[in-house]
Amino acid sequence: MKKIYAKPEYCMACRLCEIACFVKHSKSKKIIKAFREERGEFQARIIVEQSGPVSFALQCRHCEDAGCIEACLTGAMTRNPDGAVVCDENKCVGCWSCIMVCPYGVINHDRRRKKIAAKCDLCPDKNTPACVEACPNEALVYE
Amino acid sequence: MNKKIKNRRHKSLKHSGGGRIGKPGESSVKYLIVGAGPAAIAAIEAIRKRDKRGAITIVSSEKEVFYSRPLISYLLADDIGEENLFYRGEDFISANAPLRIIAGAPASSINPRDKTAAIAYGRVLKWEKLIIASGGVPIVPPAILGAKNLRTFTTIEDARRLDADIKSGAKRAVVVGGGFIGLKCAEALVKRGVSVTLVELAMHVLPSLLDDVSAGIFQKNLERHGVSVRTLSSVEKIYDGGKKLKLSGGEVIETDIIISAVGVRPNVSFLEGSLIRMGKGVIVGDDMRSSADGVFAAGDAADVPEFFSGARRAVPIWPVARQTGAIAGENAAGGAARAAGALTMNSIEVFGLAVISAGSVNPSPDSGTAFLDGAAVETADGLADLPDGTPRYKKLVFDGGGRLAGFIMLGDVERAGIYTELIKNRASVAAFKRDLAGDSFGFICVGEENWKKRIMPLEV
Ligand SMILES: Cc1cc2nc3c(=O)[nH]c(=O)nc-3n(C[C@H](O)[C@H](O)[C@H](O)COP(=O)(O)OP(=O)(O)OC[C@H]3O[C@@H](n4cnc5c(N)ncnc54)[C@H](O)[C@@H]3O)c2cc1C
Repeated sequence: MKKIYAKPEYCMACRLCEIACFVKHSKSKKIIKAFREERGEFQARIIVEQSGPVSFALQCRHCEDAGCIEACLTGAMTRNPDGAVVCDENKCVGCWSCIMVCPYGVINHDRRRKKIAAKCDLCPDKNTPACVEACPNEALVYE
Repeated sequence: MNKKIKNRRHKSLKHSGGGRIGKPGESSVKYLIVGAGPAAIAAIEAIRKRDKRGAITIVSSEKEVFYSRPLISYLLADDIGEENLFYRGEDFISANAPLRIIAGAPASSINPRDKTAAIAYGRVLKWEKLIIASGGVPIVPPAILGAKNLRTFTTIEDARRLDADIKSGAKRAVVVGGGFIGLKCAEALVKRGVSVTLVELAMHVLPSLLDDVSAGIFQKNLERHGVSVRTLSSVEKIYDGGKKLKLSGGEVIETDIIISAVGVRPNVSFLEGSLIRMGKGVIVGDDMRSSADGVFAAGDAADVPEFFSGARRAVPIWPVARQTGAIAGENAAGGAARAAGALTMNSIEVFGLAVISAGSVNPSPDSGTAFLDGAAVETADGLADLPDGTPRYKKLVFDGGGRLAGFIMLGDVERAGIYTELIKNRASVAAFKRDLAGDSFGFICVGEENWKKRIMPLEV
């Protein structure tokens, strides 16, 4: 299974990946509209981690031994046939058990329709995930 | 409440034994599982990873199988319908064939020597491996026992009954017990227009999850939403068949219904006389084997090794049910898996206020908690409101070895799992304690040697 990896030595913490992810998962898919109308209701599913001069972008690792799937009270969090860990928005009730156990802290809230957990879905309708595409310095790779 | 589930229920009932398992000794299965909750489901999934063909039979006292208990409060609140209550759907049964479900038929006794189980209607099943995943039953304090309007809140049937109470005019409820079941029940009742009094024996609600400060905030939020909270209180006496009750402080409350939510205990009465070694539940090792050959136990029914002390006790939470169920299943199918100690952790949101708590959150030098090693405990607290006015609180508890032993996050729970993982790893975090406690803590705080291998591409 292809995953997104980070290369901290190339990351400039420009956060364009966060913006691309946010826009990709917005309703309008338009940057200005998305920020004006949906900001606060949900967040990017990628986080730029920074400590002094070191930085990297982090999103769901689609763990083989995924604690979020085990902790999920509803069965919303599952592994799809190609290996990605995905959250079924219809089943999720927002109990945050997945947030309680995700070792990377990369599951957050989405309050747009009802309160549910949101995480990287590897942009299933794109060949290359939006964050990887947006990175100007190839600090994110999809391989 | 939604009635759509009727169909599904009948469909799953079709899988019940019918007449095929009739006479004693006639039927024999490789795996018999008592229960159809998350521990049982995890066991089935684990068995099938190793053994694609061995026949599995499930017996369940409830008619509905594979549903999620925590969702009954969402059902009662009308947030979801019965069709959304199921943790696994119909396809689960065919995907794990040969899997037979005998629903609505409780196991009544077990004989580990003959390897048989008696179930309802005088049927007897022979098994090679038995997994006890019968969950818990609600505890009812003696003072309210016998009340005509007494309810509990752990099953789909309990939720239907409360729904019926409300539909036939119940306006007032007393919830006895301020643990997470009591609180989720109170929230659902309030959403349905019922006025609720919550009675809690301890100093504050969620006594094992929260400390004084966070519980104070939590309680204020409950009261803001109309719940009357009575702490350091218990029900002393009931009158009029439960229509009136007297609290320990002398207060008399009138009510239409009483809900007992003081906790659950392992549901193992059917094991009496089986000679399987019992504490409060079935005592198992980290391989989920009981004292009897071929008999395993998991989930709320088992006394499992606890995370810090290794002592056997019930840790009745969902993730532990899944984890121990998977180990029981794998080992029943010939594996040699061992579970890490069961770590207490909870995530709960009531009236929009979320809290996540894990590990030891109320340490005291005399708490006798084994991991403290007599050393001083440091905490890092923070209290500040979020921009939208939601109160926020964070507490980290470190043990004498500089290891994270517990935490509470209230209001803002994002990234809580980073802490949970640090507790599980038992590594010293002394070097980055301050970063961890800070507001902008993140995965990068766990140290380069830890994050590097998890995020970077493998070089060839
Ligand atoms: C309202 C509520 C909210 C909760 N919220 C949370 C939460 O937020 N987070 C969390 O971690 N945990 C929560 N829990 C606890 C969690 O649901 C349990 O820890 C979990 O369901 C235990 O799983 P189990 O498989 O061991 O048992 P159960 O889910 O209790 O399943 C037991 C099964 O055994 C069957 N059974 C019982 N006796 C017999 C018998 N004699 N013969 C045959 N079958 C039998 C039952 O019908 C059932 O199918 C909540 C529980 C409740 C009731």
